[in-house]
Amino acid sequence: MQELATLVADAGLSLIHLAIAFVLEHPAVTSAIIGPRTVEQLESQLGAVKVRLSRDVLDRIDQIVPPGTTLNPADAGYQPPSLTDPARRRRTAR
Amino acid sequence: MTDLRPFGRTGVLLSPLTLGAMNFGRRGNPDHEDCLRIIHRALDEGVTAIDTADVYSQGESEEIVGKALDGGRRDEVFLATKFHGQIGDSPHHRGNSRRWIVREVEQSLRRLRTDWIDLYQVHRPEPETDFDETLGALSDLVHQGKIRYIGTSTFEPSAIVEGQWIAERRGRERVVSEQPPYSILARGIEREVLPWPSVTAWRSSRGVRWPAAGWPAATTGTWPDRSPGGRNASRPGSTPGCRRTGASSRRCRNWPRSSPTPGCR
Repeated sequence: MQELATLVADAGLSLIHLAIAFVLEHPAVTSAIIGPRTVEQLESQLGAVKVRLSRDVLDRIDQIVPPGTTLNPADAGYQPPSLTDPARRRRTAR
Repeated sequence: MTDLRPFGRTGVLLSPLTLGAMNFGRRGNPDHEDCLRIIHRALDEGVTAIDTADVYSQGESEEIVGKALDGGRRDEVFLATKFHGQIGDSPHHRGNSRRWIVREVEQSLRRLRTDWIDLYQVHRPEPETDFDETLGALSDLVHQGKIRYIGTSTFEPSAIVEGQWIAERRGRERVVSEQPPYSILARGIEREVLPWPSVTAWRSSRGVRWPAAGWPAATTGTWPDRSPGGRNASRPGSTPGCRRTGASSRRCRNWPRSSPTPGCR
């Protein structure tokens, strides 16, 4: 996180804009879902669509979090039974 | 907003930001008038898509969205919602079965005050339920005009492919989008989910008819207590953003999130 904070400071961006612009950068993504709870949060997010991240910024993101990596597995939103049920991973469960 | 983007190969164009409604209602902002202001402001700023779910504040989010679009704004919006999560206490009121889907879609339509849902999404996989049961029920809803497109959320690559096989072999409607969590901190879908639309294009170029997809949802942001076929990732999501910033999605599908929570976001 500290590295990302340094990156946004260097790039002159808000963390929110960086976060949303990163998602929109992938060619397979149609739309990024924002989840504002207040009008102020909405306003802090809307400008992200105008942000274009430079190759340098994108390279630095890749260095901080390698492509294809999810730091916290819980962030994937779903874990299959093959992972959540120990019995499915053990010959002698029970 | 800025340029619209193609929603997979459906022919529909969407704004690059989708308004996630997870924080509307008692689990987020309980002030309905304030939520209406957020929704109307987003639409006025060029947002053309809204994503909610039946479980968000147990129907309250859908009711708020319905109220916001009532009065002439429904057609401005590509309206997406979801089913799967537990509603109330009954064991019948959850899941991916035909029985529940056929019942719950009517309740979502009523809460949303509309005659049709643009994108009806399977909120979570349910491996113990034959996906053909789910896809068959959803296909019927498409034919009945109650929903326009079928989507999924947090489906793994194998489940996405299985869905396409079932549609092809059994003559079902195809899933056109996937809404996965996607953010700087959660990049797992870059491995096999996000590349899929490209593979699709390649197959198409070889004359194989293959569904399109790719949505939405990349989530960024905030998952309060809870994102692409496509794939939403656009759905919002705990790390830097989140609860505090309201950035989300997929998390809601949803990105930088901070505290992951189990359950449906």
